[in-house]
Amino acid sequence: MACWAPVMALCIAFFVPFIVAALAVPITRLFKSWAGWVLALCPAGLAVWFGAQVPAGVRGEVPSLTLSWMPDLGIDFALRLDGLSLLMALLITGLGTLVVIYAGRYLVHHEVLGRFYGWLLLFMAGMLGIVLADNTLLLFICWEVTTFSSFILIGFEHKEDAARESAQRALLITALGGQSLLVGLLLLGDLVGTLSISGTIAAADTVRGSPRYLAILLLVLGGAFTKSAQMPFHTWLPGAMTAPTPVSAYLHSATMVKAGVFLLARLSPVLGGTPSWQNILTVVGTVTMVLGALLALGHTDLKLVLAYATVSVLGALVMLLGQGTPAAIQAMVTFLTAHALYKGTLFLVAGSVDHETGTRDVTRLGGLRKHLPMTAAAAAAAALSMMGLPPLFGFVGKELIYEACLKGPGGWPLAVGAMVGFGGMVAAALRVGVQPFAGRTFRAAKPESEVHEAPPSMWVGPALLAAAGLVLGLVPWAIQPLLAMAAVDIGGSQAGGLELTLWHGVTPALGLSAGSLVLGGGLFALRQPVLKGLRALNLSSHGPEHFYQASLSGLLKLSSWMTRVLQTGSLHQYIVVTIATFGGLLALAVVLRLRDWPRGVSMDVLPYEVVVLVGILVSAVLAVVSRSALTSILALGALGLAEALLYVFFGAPDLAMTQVVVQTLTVILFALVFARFPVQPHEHRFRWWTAALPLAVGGLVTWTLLHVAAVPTHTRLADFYAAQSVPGGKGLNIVNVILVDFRALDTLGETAVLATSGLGVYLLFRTRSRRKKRQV
Amino acid sequence: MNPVVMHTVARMMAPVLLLVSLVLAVRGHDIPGGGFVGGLLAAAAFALQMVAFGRSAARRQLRVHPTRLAAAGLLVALLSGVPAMLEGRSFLSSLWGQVPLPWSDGLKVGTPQLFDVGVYLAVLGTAMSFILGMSRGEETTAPELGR
Amino acid sequence: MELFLALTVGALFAAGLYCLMLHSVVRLALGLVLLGSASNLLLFTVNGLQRGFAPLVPEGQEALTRPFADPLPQAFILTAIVINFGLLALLLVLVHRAAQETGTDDTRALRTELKDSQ
Repeated sequence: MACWAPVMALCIAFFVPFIVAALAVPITRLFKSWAGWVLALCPAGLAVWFGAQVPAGVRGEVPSLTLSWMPDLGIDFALRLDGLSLLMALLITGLGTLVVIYAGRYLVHHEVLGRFYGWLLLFMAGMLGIVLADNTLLLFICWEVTTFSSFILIGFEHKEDAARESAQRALLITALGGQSLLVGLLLLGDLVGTLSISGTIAAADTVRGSPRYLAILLLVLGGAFTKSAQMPFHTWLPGAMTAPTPVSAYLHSATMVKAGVFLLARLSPVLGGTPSWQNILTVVGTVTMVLGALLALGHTDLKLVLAYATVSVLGALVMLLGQGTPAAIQAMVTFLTAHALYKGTLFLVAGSVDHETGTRDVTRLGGLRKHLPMTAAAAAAAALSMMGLPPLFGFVGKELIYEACLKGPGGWPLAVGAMVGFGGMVAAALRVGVQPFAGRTFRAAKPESEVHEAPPSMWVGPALLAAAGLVLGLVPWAIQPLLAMAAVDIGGSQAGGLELTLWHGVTPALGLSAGSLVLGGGLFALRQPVLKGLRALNLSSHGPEHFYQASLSGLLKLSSWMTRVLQTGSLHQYIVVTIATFGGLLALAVVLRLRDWPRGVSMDVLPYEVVVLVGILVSAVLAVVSRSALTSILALGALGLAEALLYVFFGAPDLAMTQVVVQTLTVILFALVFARFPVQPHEHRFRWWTAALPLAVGGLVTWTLLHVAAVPTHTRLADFYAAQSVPGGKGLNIVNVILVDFRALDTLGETAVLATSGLGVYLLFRTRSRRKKRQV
Repeated sequence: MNPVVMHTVARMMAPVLLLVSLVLAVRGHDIPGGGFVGGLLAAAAFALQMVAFGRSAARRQLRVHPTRLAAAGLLVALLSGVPAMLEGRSFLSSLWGQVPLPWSDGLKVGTPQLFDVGVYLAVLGTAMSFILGMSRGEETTAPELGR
Repeated sequence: MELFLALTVGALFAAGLYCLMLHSVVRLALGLVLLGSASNLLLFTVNGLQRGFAPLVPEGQEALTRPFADPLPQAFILTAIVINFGLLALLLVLVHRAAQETGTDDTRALRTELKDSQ
């Protein structure tokens, strides 16, 4: 049992980013150009704290807390810091620190930098929430926090069409996935009877054996695949590159897109290990990996190349989770970490290059190493890691992947697929990390004299990340305990015993590595024909991209068609549609369920009741057909009084009294309208075809009512109120006790509605008459 | 109807109606009645004044702006739910007590009665804003609903 | 009795809906009143009727014993009556104001008139 201090601190760690996010605007205003450094204290402090938890975690301590939040719904505020959470939290806060510092310089002249920080930190808060949550709904809430902040950040330059379009696309795809995830999580919670994640994991066998398993799996995958940009949902991620580069580095490569992978990892003890899990994840992951790498070669924009390479990596991670063997899990956590380090670096480098040279188009860049030495060094180290060359950490991760593929159920075919994917990544790495800096001829959008090294706050981040990739490659055992913990949390105890070494000896994996290097080198050497070929194929306008565009425009067409048809502005048509719909639904119920002749309806009637009923009918008909307004109003009054009499006969004195008074006031109101403003009711003739629809609906109502009234009276509620009115409500008039005590909140609401309509009337009379104004 | 008779009836009836409406509102817990019907009856009493003596007389007798009356009623109804919260029970739970009186063993008072009074005021205010608003007729361009 | 009340409710629905379908706002208001009455009577009938026996606990007793009329629909109808009244009043005020502006209560004419005056 963990002691209290880490649990409290965990709770604070959850809330601090939210608070700092809320304060970002005033802090930025206060510290101006130093705001990045000041705000970075928040993620930095958290990173230090999470780092300090690693030894305790290795000892097997898992701080967790559960606070009752909405107990009736089973929603608890539950946090848990296991190895997987710790690894992700360190990546989130560590990268967060560097990105916040970087953004402080990158966006220094941006007019709403404070707001940018607010959203970025809110995203970080949501992301931390995802990895710390131990309740599926808390996880979902944080999940949507990241979806929404990502939407805002992608569209941050909202004056540009492309940014708005991309933001909308990202929101549509990921939020739809979020809905799917929510349904999946709710089904899961309903199945195991708890929303607690650790509780769900404990009940894993129930889930896997349930007939609902496949539905839950597909729904959860819908959420994870959209978030982690798996084919065919990947189209939003390249679009997300319209966001400021620090956002791309942080959200769209290192953290948020890994939320889907994290979710799969988190739930793999529950959902994993079945044939459907294995098949779906392996196939989707492999396809995404290969196609992503291929698509990366079809672009010359640094960020787009990186985005497609990210898609490819996400595919690899999903594929590994699908394999599910201990080796695959170990490879997954290792490669996830390696990727976060090198891809974060490369994005920030791309941002610096863009910032200093004015272009991100790789064909217009070259020979920059002299002008941006620090950036170039960081880029080189990261590119080597991405290519999977020793002694960088990327090499360690890639070797593990090859070994896992060879040893796993996928075997050689999967390993070859991975080789192709990595080949594409090698070419992409050369393109982004090497090409702009290499070569003798200087090329940039700005003249050579204006291009110089980025300021320290913009190279310190990439440099540190790249250095981390190098150090971890040389001494991989330094991070081994943390990764091993995470692997155990995903794959169970048999996934433990991770041993990271830089050199594995000459193995088939090494051969595959060499193969991917040759392939990648070849692709890079042939980059012009490859680029031309891919452009000619125009892959991105087919398939999912085309589907997205077509469905979006179809949706817009559908909604404008619906608006045109339904919102015509003709009150008469609205009313007819409403009545017809109501009647249609009733008719459906009658046809499906109530076809029999109603039986058992009480038919006894007393003479004076007949008189009253006839009075009601006559006054209703009179009110409808009379051409004189006065007759109509009086008929209405008579109808109300007859109704009140019915209430008297059948034991409802409160209703009778209210009805009489209301009817009096109604008649007064009608009279006032006609007296002050003698609008004669429109001349109309009774037409049978106009009457047909109302008559049909009236008949259906009667028919239904006869069936319902024939059902034996349900007395439980009535008995409850009869027994509880005096002891519980201290009142003899049960109707009133219900209104002001048992259901007082309803009454309060209705009173508020009434008062609001009074306010509406008041406002209507305060607005001056247009006609009068024009005359004046 | 003869206006003299009308005036006399209206003058005599108004206090009676108002009294009855109040009794209905406060005693509604035990006999038929309650805040809704009480408030409506009070509005009817003022409507009678209006029919007999004209709109401005009725508005004068109401004394308070009808919208304010409705708002005050809503506030009273809301506040009647608060004491229960102070006792740790949920909002709008009822609290009852006995007020000792010399001539009987005690008068039953409770927050639901306060709630009913709130409903009474809200309904009265709303109904009066309907009636007064509607009867303005041609004077509608004046900016105030009241005077 | 339920049989006859059900027939009445159906007739009231038909009458109210017929009024809604005419092109006159005043008729529409009439229709709303009829529909309100129809719905209230429907609620009243739906759980069975009980002649006499209001749901009032006799003085000095702790609980009410059968037979008695069901108090819950009554509570619903009571608020429904009042809300209906509020809705109707709001509609009448709108009619009144619209008529002041346009001098008509025909919904088709109202539409064009109000558009023109914008």
